[in-house]
Amino acid sequence: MKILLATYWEIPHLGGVWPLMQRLAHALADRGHEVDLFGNAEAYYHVFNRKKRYMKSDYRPLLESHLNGTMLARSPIIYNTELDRYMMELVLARLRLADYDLIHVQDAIAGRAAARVKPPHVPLLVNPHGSLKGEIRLLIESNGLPNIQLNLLKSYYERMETAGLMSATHITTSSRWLKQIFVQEHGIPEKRISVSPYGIPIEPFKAKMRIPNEYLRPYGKKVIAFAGRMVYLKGIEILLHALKALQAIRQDWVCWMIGEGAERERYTALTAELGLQQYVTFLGPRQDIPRLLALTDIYVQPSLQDNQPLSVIEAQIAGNAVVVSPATGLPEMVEHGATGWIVPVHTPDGWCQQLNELLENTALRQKLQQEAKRQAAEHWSIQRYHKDIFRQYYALTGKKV
Amino acid sequence: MQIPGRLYSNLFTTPPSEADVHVESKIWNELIRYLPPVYTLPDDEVLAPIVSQIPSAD
Repeated sequence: MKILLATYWEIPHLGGVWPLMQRLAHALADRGHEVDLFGNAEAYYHVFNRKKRYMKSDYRPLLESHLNGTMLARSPIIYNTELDRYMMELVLARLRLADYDLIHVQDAIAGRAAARVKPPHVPLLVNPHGSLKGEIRLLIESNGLPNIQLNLLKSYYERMETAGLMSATHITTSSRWLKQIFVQEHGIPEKRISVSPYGIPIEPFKAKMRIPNEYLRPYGKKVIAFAGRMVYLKGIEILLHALKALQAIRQDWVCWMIGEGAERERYTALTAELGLQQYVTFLGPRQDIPRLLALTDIYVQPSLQDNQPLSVIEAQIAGNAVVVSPATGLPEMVEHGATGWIVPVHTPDGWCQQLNELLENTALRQKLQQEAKRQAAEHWSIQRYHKDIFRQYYALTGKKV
Repeated sequence: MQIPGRLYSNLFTTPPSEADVHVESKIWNELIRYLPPVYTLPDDEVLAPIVSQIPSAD
């Protein structure tokens, strides 16, 4: 088969959807299939594996000549997103989509774009990894835009997401939470959505855990860690305030913040303001996350919204006591009290109480660590995940992977 | 190359004066082979209700 894996978002990128796309491409190539990886970059769209770039400057004038005089141009954010999306459509059209057996996109915007230019006979699998509407809502909340623009942006992304989902031949996603969002908020029939939880290559991850780096477990202290984008929706501000409260109770811990993002500077400043510099370290983006998680005792995911973060999966494989917020897709990632803990109240005090409990109660902490590690081996396996996806490919194409 | 006037007017603001229009464009010559005849700009199915809410400039 010839398969196009495409996304509206930038590739390559650290973490998230990009490694998932790459692993899927390798697994398909190993089975003799041809795979193209298509995505965005600031100045171009590209087919990554073929090193083929399509410069946006070639398409932009054509689109602007048509759209500049329209009402659309009076809303700059929507106008520029639309320009970018139409550029994606025109570039996709040049890829000879009729030659593909299947188009598998990683987000609803790419879904809409592909649907508008593909031949009718090519099936389209739309595979969103989050709720676009939900993320935009949180982004708008954190940026404080005026009301009228706010409502317009929300409406635009909601309509875009619905259109992208409706355009799919079939939808797949990794969590029951996200499936329910699509059913209840976008009107997608349940039978058009499959749920396949993520998987990662576990043995290579475990091997990387054993490769030493410059970090050592601090003497006499437990390590709490977070790994992910330093952005509003990850709830890091709640965590920092919780750690401030925790520091007043006990001092036998440190916290490693691993990752990069728009809010990192603000969180670093907040850490200093709260007097936590001796406790909280911002490590930045790292390639040795398996090793860092090997040194971690308690992994925290305080997100305001999250579908199924790979960091939680990795923390369970690494044998961390995982603590998650009760938000969105996170509770279905852990078996509460067995493979992890769901904070009942998503506030600094709620987190502080939970972290204090786990630091204090060695037996509970070790139980969560051991059980998470034991169950992760099967539950989060890459073989199981790919089998799920390939089953869907067969259903759509009639061709076995 | 010659392109159908209807498709031309979907992508350019100037309506064609003839049934078919001659356009010299390397990119357009590629695109015309692969864009479906029903392709339109903008995507009104998504945008029509949004555009009606955009405040007009005073």
